[in-house]
Amino acid sequence: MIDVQALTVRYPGREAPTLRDADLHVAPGELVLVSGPTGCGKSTLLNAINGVLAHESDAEISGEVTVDGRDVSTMPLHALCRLVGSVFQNPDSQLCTATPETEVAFGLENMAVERAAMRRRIAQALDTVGLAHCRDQPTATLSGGQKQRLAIACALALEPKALLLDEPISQLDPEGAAEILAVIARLKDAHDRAVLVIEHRIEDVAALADRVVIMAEGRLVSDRPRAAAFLDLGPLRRLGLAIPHLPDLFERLGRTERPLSAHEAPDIQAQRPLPERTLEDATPALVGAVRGVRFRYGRHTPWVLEGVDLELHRGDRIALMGPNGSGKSTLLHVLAGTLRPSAGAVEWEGGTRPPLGLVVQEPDLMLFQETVRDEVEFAPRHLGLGPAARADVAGAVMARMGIEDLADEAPFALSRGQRLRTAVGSVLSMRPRVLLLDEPTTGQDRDQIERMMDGLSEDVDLLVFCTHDVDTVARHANRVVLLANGRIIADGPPRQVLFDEERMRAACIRPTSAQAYARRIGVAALQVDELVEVLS
Amino acid sequence: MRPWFARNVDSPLGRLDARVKLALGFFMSVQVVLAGSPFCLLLLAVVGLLVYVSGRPTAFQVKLTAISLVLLVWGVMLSQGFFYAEHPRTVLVQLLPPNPLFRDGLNIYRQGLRYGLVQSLRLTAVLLTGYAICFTTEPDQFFRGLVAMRAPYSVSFMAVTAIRFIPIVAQEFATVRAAMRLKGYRPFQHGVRDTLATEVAGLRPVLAGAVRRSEEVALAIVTRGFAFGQKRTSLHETRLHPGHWAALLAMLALLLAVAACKALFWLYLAEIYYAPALRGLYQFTRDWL
Repeated sequence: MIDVQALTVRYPGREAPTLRDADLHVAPGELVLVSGPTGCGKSTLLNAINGVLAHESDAEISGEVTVDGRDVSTMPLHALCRLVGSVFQNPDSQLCTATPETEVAFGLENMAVERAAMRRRIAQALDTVGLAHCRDQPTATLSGGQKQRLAIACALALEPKALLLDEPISQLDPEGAAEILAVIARLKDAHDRAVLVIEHRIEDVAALADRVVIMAEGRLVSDRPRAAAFLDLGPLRRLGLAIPHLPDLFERLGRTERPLSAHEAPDIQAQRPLPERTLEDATPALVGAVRGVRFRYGRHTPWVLEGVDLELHRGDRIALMGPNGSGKSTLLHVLAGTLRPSAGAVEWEGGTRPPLGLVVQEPDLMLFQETVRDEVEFAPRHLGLGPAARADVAGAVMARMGIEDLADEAPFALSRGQRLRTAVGSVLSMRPRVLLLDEPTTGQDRDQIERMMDGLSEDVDLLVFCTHDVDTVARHANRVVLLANGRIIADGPPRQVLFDEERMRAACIRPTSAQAYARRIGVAALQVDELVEVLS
Repeated sequence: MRPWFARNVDSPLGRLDARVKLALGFFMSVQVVLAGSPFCLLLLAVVGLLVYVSGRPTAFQVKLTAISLVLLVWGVMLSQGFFYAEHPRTVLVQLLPPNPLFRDGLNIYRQGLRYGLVQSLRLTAVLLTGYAICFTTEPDQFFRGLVAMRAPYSVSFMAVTAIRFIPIVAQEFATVRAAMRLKGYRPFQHGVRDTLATEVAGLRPVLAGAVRRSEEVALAIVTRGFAFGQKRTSLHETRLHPGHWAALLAMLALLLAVAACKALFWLYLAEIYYAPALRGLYQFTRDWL
């Protein structure tokens, strides 16, 4: 269905091609997962297949791309959408009308489909993605997962032969991601359509895929059926990709099986007890406390936080977890003082708020200087440090964040991971005692997450971060606070909270496959490393 | 519970076709230009208020409108109070004595304030109507209205899509400001030049975000078949109800009647055309319009 032959793409002003000699074939009814590090050419491949590259860019293109036997470069772009449907990363910027019904209708209206047929196809598409009941609901009130399902419905309504999804779950919480994966699974089972999914979160999508393709530096370095895709994990490790937990575990145990889910994995007997955690525990010394905090955004809006009480100790590395809308970000902003509680208070030891840094959910909004160095020096300059002192501080922070080589680069010219580290660096240079991070792992690959978290100052008294990433929590938190509907439903060490199935379900958090497997074999391990130690 | 950004589409005004609301906006804009007497301007302001109330505004919207109105009325009154040039005029407050720059001194005149108050009624009528239309019309309805009125599809779509993203841009701007504050930035702490440079720099991420978002939106819509000048169909019928036709005709008739009265009165004043049979109309126009 999709045929890419010897495709090379070079963007104007760039010496190296972004895609080199790419060959890819996706058969009808086949689902192919494409992964690779940021900047490896995945999105360029997708835009070559949907025709955007040939019609809307000045890139030099050689090679051939056909869908259903038709050359995409010779078909008009507006006609191509009957052949290829595309769904992109950010659900908010691909929806442009007021309700799901009008959103799905948009493409059909562009195709001049008659009204009666349009109504039938809208109903069908919304039904396929499970949104038939929200047909007239304002799009702005849908959850992230619902919006992304709507984007899929928009593509499906045009009845394309091939469907391309560009990181469809990277911006979603676990619940939203699960909704999308369920839709993708249904599509795969019910239609004879070629589906290509580009995604960093290999573990989530691999189980649905027929084939897994890995890209690096514009080349397709591996293209294997799912069963063979994880036999050799060397290339994935070298590229810093998020390796699915169970294939990683079984390879490290020296076994030949490569299960992708806990129920596929054979039972292995634990050989030794679980090692003690290496992360330091918090001290009893209080840094501050949240006392009975309630918050809502307007007098007639629902409560976002409903009586939150939380003691914050020196040395706490707190992960705030919970579904979107549970109040995590709001609590973080209340701690930062950018939102004032409607009732209750945040009390800091000594009566004054300690130096505090906040990295907001969209780190790009924290980058407003011309160079990385200026960005990191911004806070010290405004806090009154002299040129020499702030250069010292900035140098140390850039080294810690691994961005010292980028000091004279413009922040907007950097990759997503580098921009995040620059934003974190610009806050660390304030030498905060309290550091707050709002979903620092969203849209980042594993390598970038680890580089950022490893570089966080150890002399910060208190670190609080919101995340959906259970793996990051297992590695970097010594305390987990679960929020649901504006209330704390669990607060304790990660091992205790992440193994509380009932509360995890209430907070819409799904364990990783390694955690699910550990649970099944009766080991309280959170990470693959721990499982390797226990099972080997 | 309605979110703050929701439009009051179920209010009496909200149920009107977008074309009727656009026509209402046009009607009010022309009427306030044609009207001259304080009575007529007051009447238009009252009509604007009724239109506004029929949109059932939320408390937030009322607050926003009240702030705008206070600034508007105060601004117009004060500017007229300062620069009123007609005579007689009574000095209410003298801010500066006569000097080479201000021959009569810098004064606030009683008649100027009153004149400003009357003139601000024009803007009040238009502002209330405009807010009411915005608060009760989804961008989609505007879009369908514009397309049904034969406005170019692509231009209407882009304009309406831009409106849809305004709250996101505002939110991003607020986030940038919060981030700057948390990094220790305080306006004027390091002088005017530094403040100006930082304020301008603060727009950079917002603009970058807007450019990135516009690229994403463009990519999303071209891959759903959007193209300039193509033949399209529409999910929704765009036929006007008889009631809507009646409202449109009533507004048109009233507009034409007022315009005709003003035109005839002007011809009479300019001594171009006078008809004794129209004496009642001349008097009505002079006294009330």
